[in-house]
Amino acid sequence: MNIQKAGAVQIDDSDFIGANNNLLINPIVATVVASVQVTNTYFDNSNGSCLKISGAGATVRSMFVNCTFTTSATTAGLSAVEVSTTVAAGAQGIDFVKCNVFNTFGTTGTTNGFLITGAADLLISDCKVAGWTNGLNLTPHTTAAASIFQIHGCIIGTSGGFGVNTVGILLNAGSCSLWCS
Amino acid sequence: MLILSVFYSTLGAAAYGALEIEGNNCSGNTTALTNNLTTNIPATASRYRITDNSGINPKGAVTTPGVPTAGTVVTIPQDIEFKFSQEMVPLLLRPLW
Repeated sequence: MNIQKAGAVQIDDSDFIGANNNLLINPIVATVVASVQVTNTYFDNSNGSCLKISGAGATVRSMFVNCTFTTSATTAGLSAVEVSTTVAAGAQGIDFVKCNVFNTFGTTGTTNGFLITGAADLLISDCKVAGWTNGLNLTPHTTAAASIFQIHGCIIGTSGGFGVNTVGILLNAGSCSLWCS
Repeated sequence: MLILSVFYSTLGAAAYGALEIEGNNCSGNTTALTNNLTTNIPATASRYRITDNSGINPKGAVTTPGVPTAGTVVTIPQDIEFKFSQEMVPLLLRPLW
């Protein structure tokens, strides 16, 4: 599924298997994808980033609840969830709640459960993340102080029958220049 | 192309707006947390918290406390509790004024 412009999308009780990006949210510049609400849905065995939120447009207020994300073993170096929006404000209000993010099929190379480079406010709560090179690979958005990350109550390591991550949480370079004093 | 690459690299080190990593289980990973932040963020910063995560010691140089063993358990004798209660009785029965 490729969502390029939307005001409200509901995806419930579904199964997406085997696409390059099982769900691609990719608005072009000056367009918006708002309020994609996904519940009880499998995103399995992708050959690229399983969920990819990207593009030069804005993706805002979208939630993934009780979902599963996995990647294929066919290609090395994949990520289950990628947020790489390039719009100045970053992807805003993106929530993952009670999701399973496992390297189920043993994707090799440098892999990521979450690869976040273009997010503003992002919540990952009560999720299980196992079997990746980096469970959470977090980089602050290019706009200073835009990235507000909340990681609460997750198991980032052995869970669901899958092994540990090489690095549980990777915090890439950033600073606190606007709010440290 | 080279200029663009350098430009992106510079922007990529932007400041975090806030960071809350709390109450997660990160134990067992080869490395629980790799912190590459370029500025030393004080623990008192109101919107920066890495707290109460198993497997992550927020004070990296401090030895993780060991699990108490059976030999270190302290039992309070019952007679101490009895005497203490007796002494408290007059105070408890004293009228309030």
